[in-house]
Amino acid sequence: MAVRLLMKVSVDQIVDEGGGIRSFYFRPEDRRQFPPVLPGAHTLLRVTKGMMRQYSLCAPPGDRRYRLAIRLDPAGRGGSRFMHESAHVGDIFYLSYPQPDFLLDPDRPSYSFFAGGVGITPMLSFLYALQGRTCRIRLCYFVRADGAVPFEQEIRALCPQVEIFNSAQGGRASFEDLLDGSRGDAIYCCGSAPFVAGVQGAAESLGLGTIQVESFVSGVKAGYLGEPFVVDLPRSRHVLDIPSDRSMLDVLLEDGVDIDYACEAGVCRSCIVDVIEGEIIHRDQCLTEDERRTVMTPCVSRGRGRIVINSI
Amino acid sequence: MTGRVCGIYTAEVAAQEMMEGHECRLLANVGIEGDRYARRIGRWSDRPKTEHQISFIELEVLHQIYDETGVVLTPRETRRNIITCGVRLNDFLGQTIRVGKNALVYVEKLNHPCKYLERLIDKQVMASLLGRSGLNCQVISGGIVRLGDRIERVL
Repeated sequence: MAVRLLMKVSVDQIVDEGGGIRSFYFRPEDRRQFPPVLPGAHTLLRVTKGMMRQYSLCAPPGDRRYRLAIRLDPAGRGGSRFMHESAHVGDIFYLSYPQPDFLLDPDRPSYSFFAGGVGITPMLSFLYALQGRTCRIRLCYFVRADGAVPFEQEIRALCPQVEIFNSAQGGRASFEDLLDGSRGDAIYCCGSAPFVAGVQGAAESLGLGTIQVESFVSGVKAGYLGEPFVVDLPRSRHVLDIPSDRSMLDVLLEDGVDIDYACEAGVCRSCIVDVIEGEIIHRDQCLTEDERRTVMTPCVSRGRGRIVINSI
Repeated sequence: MTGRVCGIYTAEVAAQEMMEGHECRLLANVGIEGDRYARRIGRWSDRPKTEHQISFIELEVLHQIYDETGVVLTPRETRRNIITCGVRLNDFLGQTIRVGKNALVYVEKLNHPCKYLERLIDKQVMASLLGRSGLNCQVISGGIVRLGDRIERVL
């Protein structure tokens, strides 16, 4: 858990990194300097009212700005499209304090980093943190780029031995084969949900134990088809029917509820609401068992029958 | 019963860390100029209520919480607009109070603490705030409010 307050920021610089990825550099507008960032931490970007998105913080050390790398997903939920099409230098946004959920164990003798696409960004911050350390580093970077590979120059300066598998140029590799050479390493993985699941599955089949993973979109499908139920909001005197083909978050937003949301997949904690009555069917991947007694993530979780929400 | 304004805080959007100021402008039936509720983009702005226009909390409560629990809850972290000293705010419930020279606010309800605050600031303070979480008020008459200004009941 960490402070989730937002800081007022402005876009200081936008850099096209290739592969549909742009780096957005932000500087603070309501303080002299940003809080320090632990390697691997991410932030929540308030794209528009209610719409939050998670991005790893990956500015080089010494740069006092925050850098977020955002890949354009034309078929996505709109966050990346807004940033690529509408954000300009000087525009005001709001970023959360750093969220340290994916952290580097700094004292290991050897590391293996598996990055899929824009999942390279927390690995960049890991590489910067390990600069000058006497440890073995392996970086396997899976990417699809017709032109320049995003961040290639920066990565090669930090990790000349990087193994890049560019599927646009026929680059392929078996996760099992690669992981077999990573036995004993601290293994970290970030990328899309299928990418992370693939690496995790390979690690399990090889008996490598737990690996550290981060994915900002989970394997749980947003708007999960599930049980119809009723949500009672006594504070606003609204009672809402949640049909089986819609998420509770969708219905709340349509009703005009001012609720933050980001992943829409039960991983980021942005949309948590307090439940004071009723049975919850939890489908998140972020709450503790203790928390699940009193809160839920309406983006993926549902109720049975009727539930009563206190916080909205 | 007279108190003083010892802190002024606003936020431009919901969840933004509160920004400290030396003065603010109260707008009748709107709120504080530039604040998230006056801009209708606060946490509860989807269901606008006059009680959200301006909020108060006692500095003394923050000291009590520290003495009782060891938790440092700073004025900024309370997310209330006006921090007061020298006055028992709960006694103003249902009354109109003057803040500064001209501004009048009607005390609609006692604030009820929420877990939303705990999640934002990552501190367990909800239980400690129960019964002394400050006031939610409507701005009846606008005016400038400055640090050190008097807070008093309108007779």
